[in-house]
Amino acid sequence: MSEPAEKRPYLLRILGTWGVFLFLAVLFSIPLGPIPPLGNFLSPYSGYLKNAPSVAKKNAPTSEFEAGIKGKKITISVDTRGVPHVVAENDLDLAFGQGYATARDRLWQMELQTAATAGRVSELLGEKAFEFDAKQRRLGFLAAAEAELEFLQKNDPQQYEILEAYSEGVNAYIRSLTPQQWPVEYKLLGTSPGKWTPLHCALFHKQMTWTLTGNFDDFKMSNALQRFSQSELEFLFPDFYPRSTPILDASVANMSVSSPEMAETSSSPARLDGILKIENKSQRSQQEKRKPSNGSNNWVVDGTRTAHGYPLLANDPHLDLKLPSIWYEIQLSAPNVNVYGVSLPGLPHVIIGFNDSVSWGITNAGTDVIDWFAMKFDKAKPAPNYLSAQRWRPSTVRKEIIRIKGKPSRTIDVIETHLGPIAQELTLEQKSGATSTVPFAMLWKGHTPSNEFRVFHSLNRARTVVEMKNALRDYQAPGQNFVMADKTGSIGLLQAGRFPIRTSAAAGRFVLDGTSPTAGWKDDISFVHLPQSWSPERGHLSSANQQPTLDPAFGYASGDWGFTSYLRGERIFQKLNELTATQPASFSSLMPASISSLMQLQNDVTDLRAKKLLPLFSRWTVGLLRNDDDRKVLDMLNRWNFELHARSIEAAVWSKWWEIVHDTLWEKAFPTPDFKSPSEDKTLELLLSKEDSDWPASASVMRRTEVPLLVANSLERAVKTLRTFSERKNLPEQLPQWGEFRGTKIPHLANLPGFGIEHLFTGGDGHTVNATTDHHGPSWRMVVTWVDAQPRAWGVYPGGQSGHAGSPHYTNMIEPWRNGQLQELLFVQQGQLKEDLTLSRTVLEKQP
Amino acid sequence: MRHTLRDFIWILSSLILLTFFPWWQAVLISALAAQGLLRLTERGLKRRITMMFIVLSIYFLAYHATHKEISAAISGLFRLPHFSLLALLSAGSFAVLFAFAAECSLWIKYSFRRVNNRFQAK
Repeated sequence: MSEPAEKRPYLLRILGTWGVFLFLAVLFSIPLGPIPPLGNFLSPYSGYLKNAPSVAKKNAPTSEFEAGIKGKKITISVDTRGVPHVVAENDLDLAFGQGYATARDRLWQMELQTAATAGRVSELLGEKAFEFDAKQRRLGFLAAAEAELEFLQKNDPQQYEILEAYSEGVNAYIRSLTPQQWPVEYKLLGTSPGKWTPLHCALFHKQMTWTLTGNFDDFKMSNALQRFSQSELEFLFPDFYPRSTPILDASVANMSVSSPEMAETSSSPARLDGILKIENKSQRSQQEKRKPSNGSNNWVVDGTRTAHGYPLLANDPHLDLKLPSIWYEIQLSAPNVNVYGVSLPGLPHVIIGFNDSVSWGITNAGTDVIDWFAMKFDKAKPAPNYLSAQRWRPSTVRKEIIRIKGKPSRTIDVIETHLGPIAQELTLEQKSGATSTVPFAMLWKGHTPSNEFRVFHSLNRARTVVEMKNALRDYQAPGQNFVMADKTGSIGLLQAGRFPIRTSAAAGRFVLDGTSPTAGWKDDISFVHLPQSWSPERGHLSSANQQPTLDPAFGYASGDWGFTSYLRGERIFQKLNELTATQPASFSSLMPASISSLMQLQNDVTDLRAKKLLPLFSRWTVGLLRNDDDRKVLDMLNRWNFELHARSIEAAVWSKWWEIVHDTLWEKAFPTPDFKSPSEDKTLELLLSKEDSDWPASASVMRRTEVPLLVANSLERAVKTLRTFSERKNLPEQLPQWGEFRGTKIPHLANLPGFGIEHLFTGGDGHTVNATTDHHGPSWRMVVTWVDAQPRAWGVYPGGQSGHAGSPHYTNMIEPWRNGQLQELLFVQQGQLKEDLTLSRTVLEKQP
Repeated sequence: MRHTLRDFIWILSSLILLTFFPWWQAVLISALAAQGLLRLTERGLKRRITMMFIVLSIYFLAYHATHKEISAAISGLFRLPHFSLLALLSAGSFAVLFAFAAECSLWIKYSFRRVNNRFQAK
């Protein structure tokens, strides 16, 4: 070794070199804030580059031995769209295969979703998730999931075994992985996959129930009660809109609408004497969870309206858009079942889909199944004793330990009352200026154990509409509108769920008095009195989250149908009437038109709200505009076809205009975040009404005569906002297109930048059948029919089968989804998927 | 020229180690190999960093280009406009780490020899 020239002192050089090396080595070994240890993460041996699964066709099937298999083998063949087709010899192995296939594509998603429900995100993300976890624990999901499993073990051991088999399948996949193969999100967070159990399945079921039924509007309505009388609020926030098109009208509802079982609910609104402050971020996000203008659609056309005698069914449930997608396509085949559709990663069975005899689709019922009760404890803060029926009752205190990554665990108390857990505490600002804290108990149908697993198990195996109807008898939550069809030509619609009987208009609308001796629910609406219709004369049935019936005597007082516009339902009804008005002449003339008609209807962006209001707005505005540019914009709108296409400039102007009118009209009477504005449908009805007496007389609501000026000013503000947007974005036009201005974002489930889609050029909005908004939209589009007694179906969802960001199947369906193109679904009738359609095949064999 | 060839052999072996072993094992083995392959010279560290950066850049760029989906996602995560920057960042980080590890290893050898020489001189 030749010695280096020693320009610097020897010791300094050696220490310097070692210092730099050790610094780099430490830097590579420890996480730097949100950045994982760089050594492992950047390494081609163990880092993110290992998370690029190949989708190249694999000719030779891979084979693995699994101890948990009951039969001889399970085959999982993946088709070219990334859809697994699971073939097993019995139901338990089928669940095993479903768990295995789902975990292979969606393991991280399954883990995060259930951790969020259980309030265990701090274990993954550290202290910043503590408040979120504490909130989730107080909502009582974990206890509800545990109760559900106990219920299953006692009442339906077969379903419990299926959950166990599903869990074994997930765990078998986890065991097959080396740390290098763990999904990249685990590497980012420095965690490892946890063991999956039936509790995780139950937790995810609770999460879905909460997503679709969680409702905090009662707090805001109680605030409104401090400013308006109960009758004024019933007028401004109606449960039933007499001018709307309900799911069922008298012509299709072959059932009695009066129910002898209806007992008056005695719950009465709590006397709050002040405004509940929606103070901290966590409470606000809970309150604003359900944004207006969400939507889902389903419809079915009777077999008698088609020349080939088979019904056509379409469904597009709308949900928050995330990557990975909420849905996972799968086909499940065993001796007594062959079903295809979308499943929820974390739950066995197919949730929306078809088999060779029946098809079904769902939309959210929106019926109110949650009440909030103001409680009084023997101290200002919740403590063991609370007042009920003029006596102090002991509450149950559950100690919940929240484990925090890198920090000591913390314990919180979850207080249980006979009306549910204390899930919210809000500050009450009294008229005197004094403040106090009010604890609220949450009574929610999701807390009651139920067996939806059995329902979907039966739906997957049903042969007729009657069998599907019977399967839905046990359905509890979340309340859903099921449309269904079978290949004999029958169709049906049932709003399934357990809904508390409420005939008092106040019950469910406001926060209620938890000290009342009669606080709580009595009975549920019985199955025979649920909204339903079976093969009606008119030949079609549909639902779009709107009210189930016009008749308020239904026992359904206090729904939550204001979260969406009834105009979607009206548009679908109109179009289905047109499509089924004439009997088709022949099969060949029907089929291309009908299937494409239904697909087109799913993509319909006609805005009935604009159609009804724009002529009126134009009349009011024309003489009040102050400059020529705004007049030109108004002229442009007058020539518009009311379609909210992504390329439409008019759609951008109209939507912004309407938003400003609606917000300004109510901002004084119902300021955010402590109040809720009347729905857009109610506002539309008020604006269109010719009766002066319809206009609210309150001093906080502007007078009817002032509205035209507001509308004109709003157009000027809207145009200015859009021009500013165009300038900021350097757009070629002075006004942006709707898809540019609004667009749609599909973020990653954990909001990781780079793992989601920042901006999609989309049309539609909450009032149109294609109810795509900036963050919400059709989470699955499906059209099903039969041809020569064989099912044929098309579908697409905004994402891809794989939950791995490195897979070409991560986002491959987004572009067809955006363009409204449905892809044909490969339903294998018998045996295995054909070789030329198979991307890969995994055989799980029983361990010898 | 002889040094450069030895450096190049060491860099290629480091690259292979990095692909098939955990990074810390690769660094350790590469540093040990450096004792047999490399010489402690005044310009050795800079030369090896530069050469290794070039070789690793080519390797990482090709690897990222053939795993475009995951590379793009991770680039987005680090707010990098293109995945090639991520590849260069990775190449640079490992080049510096490997070169300094080798340098430390050579200093141990040199120090041992120096102490030994002094001892024998006495």
